[in-house]
Amino acid sequence: MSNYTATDFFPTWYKSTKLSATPEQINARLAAIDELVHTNEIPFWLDIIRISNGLPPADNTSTSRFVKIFQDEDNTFPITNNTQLLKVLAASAVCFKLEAEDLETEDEEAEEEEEEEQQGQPNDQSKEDEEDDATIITNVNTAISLCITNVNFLGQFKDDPVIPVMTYAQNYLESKPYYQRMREHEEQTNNLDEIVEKLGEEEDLTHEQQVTIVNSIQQLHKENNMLSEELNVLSWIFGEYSKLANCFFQDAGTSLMMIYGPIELHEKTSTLHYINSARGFLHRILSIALGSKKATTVSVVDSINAIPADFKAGLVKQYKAHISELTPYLLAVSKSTEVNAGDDYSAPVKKQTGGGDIKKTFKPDVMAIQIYKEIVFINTLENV
Amino acid sequence: METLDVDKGECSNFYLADASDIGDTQTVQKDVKKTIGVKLFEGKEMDVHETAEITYKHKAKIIAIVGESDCGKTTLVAELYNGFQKSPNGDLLFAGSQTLIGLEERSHLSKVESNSEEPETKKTANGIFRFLHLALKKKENLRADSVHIILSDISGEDFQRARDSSSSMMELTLLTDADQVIYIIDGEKLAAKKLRQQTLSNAETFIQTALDNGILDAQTHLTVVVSKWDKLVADTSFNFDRDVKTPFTESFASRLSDFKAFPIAARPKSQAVEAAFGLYQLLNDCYLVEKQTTVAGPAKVKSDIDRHFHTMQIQKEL
Repeated sequence: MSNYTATDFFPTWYKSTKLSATPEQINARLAAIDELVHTNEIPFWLDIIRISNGLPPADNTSTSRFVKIFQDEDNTFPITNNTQLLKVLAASAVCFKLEAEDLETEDEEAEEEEEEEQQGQPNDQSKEDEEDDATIITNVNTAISLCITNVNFLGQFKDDPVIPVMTYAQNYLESKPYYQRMREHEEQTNNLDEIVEKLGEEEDLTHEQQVTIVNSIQQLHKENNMLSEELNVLSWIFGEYSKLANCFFQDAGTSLMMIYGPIELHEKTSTLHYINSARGFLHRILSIALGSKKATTVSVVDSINAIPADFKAGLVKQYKAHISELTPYLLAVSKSTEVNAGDDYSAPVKKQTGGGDIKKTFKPDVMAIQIYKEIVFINTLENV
Repeated sequence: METLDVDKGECSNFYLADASDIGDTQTVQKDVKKTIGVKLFEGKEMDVHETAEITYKHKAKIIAIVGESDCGKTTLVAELYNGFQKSPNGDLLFAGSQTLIGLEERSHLSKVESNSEEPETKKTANGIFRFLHLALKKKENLRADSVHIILSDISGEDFQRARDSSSSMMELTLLTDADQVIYIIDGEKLAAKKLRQQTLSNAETFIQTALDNGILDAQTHLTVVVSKWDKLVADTSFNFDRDVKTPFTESFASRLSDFKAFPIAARPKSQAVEAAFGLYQLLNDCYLVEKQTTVAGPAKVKSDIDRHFHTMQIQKEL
């Protein structure tokens, strides 16, 4: 694990927008970002991602709210002609947010231990609240990471060479689900060990210990569901049969499995939520669907044209509330349903995504993982 | 530059100044919480604080130009701008400047003052970096945002001090932040055979010292240009590739992100080379340069190795 955090990098990031930044200004910006990081409102964070990409926020007040947080710490913060400054601060804030969860968890663990030592018994209610907060933060950060990795699918934005937002998001998605699961497993084992020792004694179990047993059972149930889901996915892939296509993968072909594959995979993994191995699973499904044919790249337009009209309509209806420029593929599907069959709908997609080109071609597995991430992203928004 | 006290949002033709920008105005500093400090732009060259007016609004590329006294730094800046007034500069188009007066002063003020027939550019003041702004667009993509270039040169005297002393070199931190550094070797001195080796040696010493002190590093895009090419082009004893490009590339390229070397003649005094020779290539490089700041990479939350050992630890405990 690197010894450096976003706080160490921030002066370098900020220098890209002001060469002569003073330590006071840096500290004021850091204080504002710290304030911001404690916010867990997903719509606001999605608008911050929009600001960092130069897209108009969904909520008109988001920009002024974002500016005010910085203005509260430094009343000379520019309120006009500040587009690039806001982009840099928004991108930085996202990096801090994604990093904050780990730092907070480490700090909280240390603080908890200290408090327990001082007070003897921990407070049950506050512990439950903290667990809820941790779940919310995880969901917010998962939504942020998915949003960042999804938004530039059509290649309309240049990756920032200074602020590595994309790398932060990818690191989060790679590490977090795995660690969350391992941490829960570890905590559950440790907590139960203490109770097992107590059972040999004659004392009754305290409320806290009873809660621990219930939590452990719930976690075991969750873990069991996850294992079942993993087994179901493997059985599904082994069986090579698509319920949505109502035929075997190879009979459906890559054009259909590119969209049905990610949707079915998500349906089978509702407890696992986002799985890192999705790319591998989808690659396997598409390889089977391809059979002995040669793999070719496909444009977003062509892939959408291959989807049956009624399925497209159903998909748009199901996700309508959350389809936006942050879900470029589903946005293109949505726009395709607003025009007559065969008509060009690239212009409205381009306008809304800030220059996204739906004629750009991708490998089928790249397209499939994008669809999977967009669906998981929307489901995360619905579940927070 | 005038500093006024104006209520927030009263005037559209201003930018809000940071406290550090208005430090010399006592009244404004005292009342900074009640009113907003406002600066009115004169369009002249900027200091480092004033560049924020551009960098807050646009993604800008900082180009630092260094070289000994009279090597042609200021002439280069002036001619980069003048080129747009004379003829199309390849596929690059002038898209505005916040320092038009500053650029004009560099180009022609001294000519007016001295009644000289030949333009003589205003020399760079000692001790400070001064900045000039150029916004550019490419013909083929007029709908794209302009690329904003902030050009900065330092006086020959400051440059010389930095070359001879590591402590002075450390003051040139702008070079570390710059997206591209252009080092100018005076072609006129290379044409004088007695000065040739000394001039090349000085250039090598500067780049070496800057690399050793971390002022230039693996993220730096360095371009070495030999100015006043019209004085050298007919000199058979000088070979650009043999005397400059190859030895500099061998010595420094591996320690930099990108290294280029080519000759220029910003304002040739003979017909030996065309006017603004090499300037389009230089300007195009400035337009295209993208600095990768690898130092600001993320704290990788958990590496694969961490993950592996974490799993082993859990298995051991179980």
